[in-house]
Amino acid sequence: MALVEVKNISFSYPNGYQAVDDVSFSIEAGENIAIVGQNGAGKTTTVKMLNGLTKPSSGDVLINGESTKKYTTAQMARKVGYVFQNPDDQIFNSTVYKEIEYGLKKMKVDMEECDRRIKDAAELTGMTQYLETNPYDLPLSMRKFVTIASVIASNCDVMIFDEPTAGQDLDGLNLLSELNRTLTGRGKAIVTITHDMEFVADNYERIIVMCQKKVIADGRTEDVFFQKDIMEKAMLKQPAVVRIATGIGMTENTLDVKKIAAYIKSHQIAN
Amino acid sequence: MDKKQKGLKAWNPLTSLYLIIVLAIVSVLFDYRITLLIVAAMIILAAVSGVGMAFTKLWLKSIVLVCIICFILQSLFIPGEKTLWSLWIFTVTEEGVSKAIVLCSRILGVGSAILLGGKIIDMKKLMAVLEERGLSPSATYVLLSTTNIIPQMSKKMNAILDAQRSRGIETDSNVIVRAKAFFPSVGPLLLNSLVSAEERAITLEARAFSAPCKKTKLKEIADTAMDKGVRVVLIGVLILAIGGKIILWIVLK
Repeated sequence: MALVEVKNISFSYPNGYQAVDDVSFSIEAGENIAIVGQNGAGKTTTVKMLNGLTKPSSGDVLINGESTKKYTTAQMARKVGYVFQNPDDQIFNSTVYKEIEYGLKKMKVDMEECDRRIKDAAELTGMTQYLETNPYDLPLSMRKFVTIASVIASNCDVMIFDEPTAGQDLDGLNLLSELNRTLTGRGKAIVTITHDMEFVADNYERIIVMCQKKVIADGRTEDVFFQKDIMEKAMLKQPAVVRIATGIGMTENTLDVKKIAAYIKSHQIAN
Repeated sequence: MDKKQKGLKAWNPLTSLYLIIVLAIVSVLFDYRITLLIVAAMIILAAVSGVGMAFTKLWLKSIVLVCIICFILQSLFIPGEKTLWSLWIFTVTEEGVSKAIVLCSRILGVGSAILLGGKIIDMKKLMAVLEERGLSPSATYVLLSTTNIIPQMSKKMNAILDAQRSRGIETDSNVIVRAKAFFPSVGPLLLNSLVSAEERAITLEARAFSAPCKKTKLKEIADTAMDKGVRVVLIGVLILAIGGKIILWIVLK
């Protein structure tokens, strides 16, 4: 049984606007998935159905075999964590420590375990030295890591990141890559919504491409990125590494820069 | 007049503002029967302007609801000598009912007028007209941003509630649960508002908001002879109503 099973979900707003149309996929524990697509493709509405923020009009979402329909979003928070695009929608405590601690207190985690989880989450997100700092004294990119730390501390099985790369510098991007590896290594399923194709090419094993409320591709990152028709249909730009590999006539679908460099070198020697 | 718009929406916004003010004042000057007639007229005016359904729905959900609650509370708790009905600790007196009718008719009159104003007056156009007539741009900006901030805050509040629910905070349940969610919901809303106010001030200055020069106008709002005539009539109605009330007051005294 998969950790997350999304079964033919559709969602329409009360005014009749259909935001998601018959979407299905499953996610295993330890998987690292990016959901990509242009604005309005239905990405956010789809992931909001994973933690019950939005209930499907039809179809169902199962987490560990249980339907999200039975639970409130607050109850689902123990299983599915959600890092919102804007960290300021969440933060209100006077220190980073208290901010991370808040959700744990709501889940009635005991003091000792709480402290251990906060320190672990802070270490993973580079927040250790800022635990006593007011979150609003940190720049937006770091406030984002405060909200990521809150979700990590809650120790849920599925973690959803909405546009985590927005506003991040190289250090921030490297930290996000490291986080992805560590969390999937711990058996967590990571679902990321992003427009940053270069980041996806570097960090994700699988991508789901959404276009006009539907899933139009779901597979290994390298295989999907090399399908030019899919990328064009979804109005997405292929990452530079894919454009180079295609341009030099490589037949293998690879995102490995070293392999591409080796291919170029070998062809230069041959010529 | 704007020919693309219907009814009061086609008027110069200043004329519509005069009408709303006159309707609100006249409705509180006289007794509840006149107020009910004025409110009925407001519903007809809303319908003529193409916002009949939207106005009536909002009116029922807000003003009428507030009036019912006020009427019940006032009737039950204002003491008096003539008892109309009594059960356990609750007593409804004639004096209580009379005061409740007066209060509710005022809420109904003024509230409905404000609601109608909100539906028929384009605030951007109104501010442009007021600015043209000498109101300072800072004042019009404050007024405009105040009216804009409510729907914006409502949207923001929904995003904040989603974020707080996602971290395990129950927000939809009994009063105690909702009270517990109050600070986590209002805290980010206030902090966000402060941050965005500062950012908005900077971006305004970057666009020469307080530059000491004559400003150009993007919108030309027509002020027709009919608009001017309607405003004169409305001022006349207001003077007559106030005069009539004073005469009535002297006669009845």
